[in-house]
Parts: sequence; structure tokens; C-alpha cells
Amino acid sequence: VITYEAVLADVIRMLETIMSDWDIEGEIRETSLVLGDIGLESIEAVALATEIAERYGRELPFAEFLSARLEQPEQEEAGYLQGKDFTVGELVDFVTRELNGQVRGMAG
Amino acid sequence: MRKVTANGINFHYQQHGVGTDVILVHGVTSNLSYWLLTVVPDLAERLRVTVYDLRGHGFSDVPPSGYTTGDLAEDLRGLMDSLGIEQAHLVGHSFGGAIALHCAARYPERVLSLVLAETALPALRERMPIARWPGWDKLRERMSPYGVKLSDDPDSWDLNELLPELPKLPTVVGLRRGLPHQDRRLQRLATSTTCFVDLRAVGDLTEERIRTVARPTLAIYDDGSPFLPIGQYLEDTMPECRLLVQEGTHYFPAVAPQELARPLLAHFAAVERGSTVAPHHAGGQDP
Repeated sequence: VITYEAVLADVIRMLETIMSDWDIEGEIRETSLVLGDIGLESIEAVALATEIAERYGRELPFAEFLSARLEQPEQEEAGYLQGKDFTVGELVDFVTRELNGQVRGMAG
Repeated sequence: MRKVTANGINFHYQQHGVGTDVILVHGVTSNLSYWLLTVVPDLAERLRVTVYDLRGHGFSDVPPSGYTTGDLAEDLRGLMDSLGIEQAHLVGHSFGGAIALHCAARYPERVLSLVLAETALPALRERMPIARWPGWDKLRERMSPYGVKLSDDPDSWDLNELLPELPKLPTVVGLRRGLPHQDRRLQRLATSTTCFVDLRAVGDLTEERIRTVARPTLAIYDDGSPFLPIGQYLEDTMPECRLLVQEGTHYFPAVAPQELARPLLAHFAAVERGSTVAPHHAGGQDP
């Protein structure tokens, strides 16, 4: 079983590497908003998914996570969607559950 | 993240599936994520799909120059060499189509077929007069709330002038759809490279040259697109080009991936059967 804390440390390190070309305001931490604070783009999400798959040896269903998080009833204001975001912690929680679910499934 | 070196540049790429090779070429300011969760899954069931970030884009290197369709066609050929791809179907969206076509013009033996989605070509700029495009007024109206002012004189205006304005608009596709544009990569491209100037260069992809590209070609355009006259021109002049007009937007390959994947798979199957010649070219007589 892998702990939430271990995954958090991994994911923050991966995000720092992926975003190393840019100046991000403040540190990347558990409470950072992935879209709002870090400003993640699709291509960086692709890079993160690839790093996570390589680190833990399997592909996780990120599309499901994203559609659950981002495809809520949309509130539009002046052409922009409101309240569409998630934190690093929420992402790490998803990764941890997926990894441990697989371990439990295999054990019995 | 997988990288491959070609033409002295490190390219970020991904490959999915098994079978005949198809390479998807994204448009200017985009990257491989444009294709990844959209058309790649459908295509990868039957083909080996390669997607990559153009130079200056995504996680590929960002050299200061070399962004003409000819330069980028050399990158594409080099990428094929480095990945050991002898022949492939080339699919390009928007500017990516110009790159694919340029590659087919120079290296026809490497190209099984072409798909050009919403592609404009530098040599054919005069053939898509913005002043006669019915969508002009609607585009101006749509842009104005975001502080993007289009010229009063569409004749002197080029659609490429919209590129630096993109950060003012909500994102159209992908993770940030409906959110403010993330403009870090666009700013880097605009300030540290010659891309936005280079992409207007005709080079050796002249009208005459375009008419000689004899690979089976499917041109797919949106019925309200300013680029539609280009699709029409390609069907009328290229030896083996068929035009498919459908409803959507410029970004239909990512917004409605089925609208691209379905005709794509049919096109590839027809190429394999050797039955792609458009009917009005087959008999050599125009109606």
C-alpha cells in the first residue's frame, strides 16, 4: 500500500519538473489549484499522466477523474466557465486510491 | 515523456496502436494533446498512430527560426526517419495540413495518403478573400466583447493576425476549455522565434507545385469556414483530392473527434483498396 503522503511528494516533484520552464507564483503545494494557481495546460496534464504511469507502472483513468471534476453543470459568466478547478490534493487522493485499489484487488 | 531527435531537434512524441502508420500533425500554437484524448483512441484500434509536438510547441525544443512549412516538412520527414517509419498516412489540422502537404510534395514516396482538415496554404492566400467570407461580421461581433478588434477592412486583413490575440479569448478545447487562455507557450513562440512570420512563407509550395501532389487526399472543411474556398480549390486542382464539407467549427477534430475519425478510417480503407480517385477526375471530363 502506498501512502497519500508518498504520492503527494512524488506528484509535487513531477509538477515542479514539468513546469520548470515557467515562473509559477508561489510554491506548488497540496492546496494549490491545478488550473488556477499552477495554470496547467492539456499538454502538461499529458506529461504528468505519462510520468505517473512510468513511476507506478500502470496507466490510471485520468479521463474519468477529469470528467468527474470538470464536467459539472457549467456556470458561464462573460463567456468564461466559473468554479472549474481541482487541487493537487484532490488529484493525489485519486491517484492513491487507484493505486491501492489495484493492490487490494490483486491480494484477494 | 518520450523524445526523439530529428533534424538536430528533440521532439516530444507518443505512439499508440499497431498497424499501418498514421502521423497526426497539429496546427500552430497547439500540441499533441489536441489529438490525444480525441481521435487517437479510435484510430489506434486499427493503426499505429504517431503524434508529436512541432518545433517550438509543447515539450519539443524551441529553436529561434525554421518555422516555414518547408522547414516543418523536413522535421516531419526527419521524425519518420528517426522512428523508422518508411511510409505513413499524414493527417494535418489547420497549419499542420500545410506541413503534411509540403512533405508529400517533396517526398511523395513516403506518404500513403493525405488528410487536410481546415487547412489554409500560404500560396493560396488570395483564393480565400476574407471580404467575401460570410462569417466575417459574425467573427467581428464574437471577438469584440473580449477586446479583440478586427480590421474595418477585411481585404487588408489576414487570419494569422488573430494568433497573438488568442490569449484574450477563452480556451476552446482541452483541459482549460472555457477558462482563460494559458499564454506562456504562445508568448514564447511570439517573442523568441520567427514562427508567426515564417508561417506565411510560400517557399517551394507554390500553386503549381500543389497541383502536382498526386497522393490520395481527403480535404475536410467546415461549411462556415473562411478556408472552405481552399478545400474547393484543392478538390478542383489536385489529381486525387476529394472534398468533404461538414458542419462544425475550425476546431472540429478536437471538439467532435468522431466527425474526423469516421471519414478518416473510411479514407484509409479506400486507399488500401485503391479506390480513392474523385469521380470527376476519373474520366478526365469536368461537368
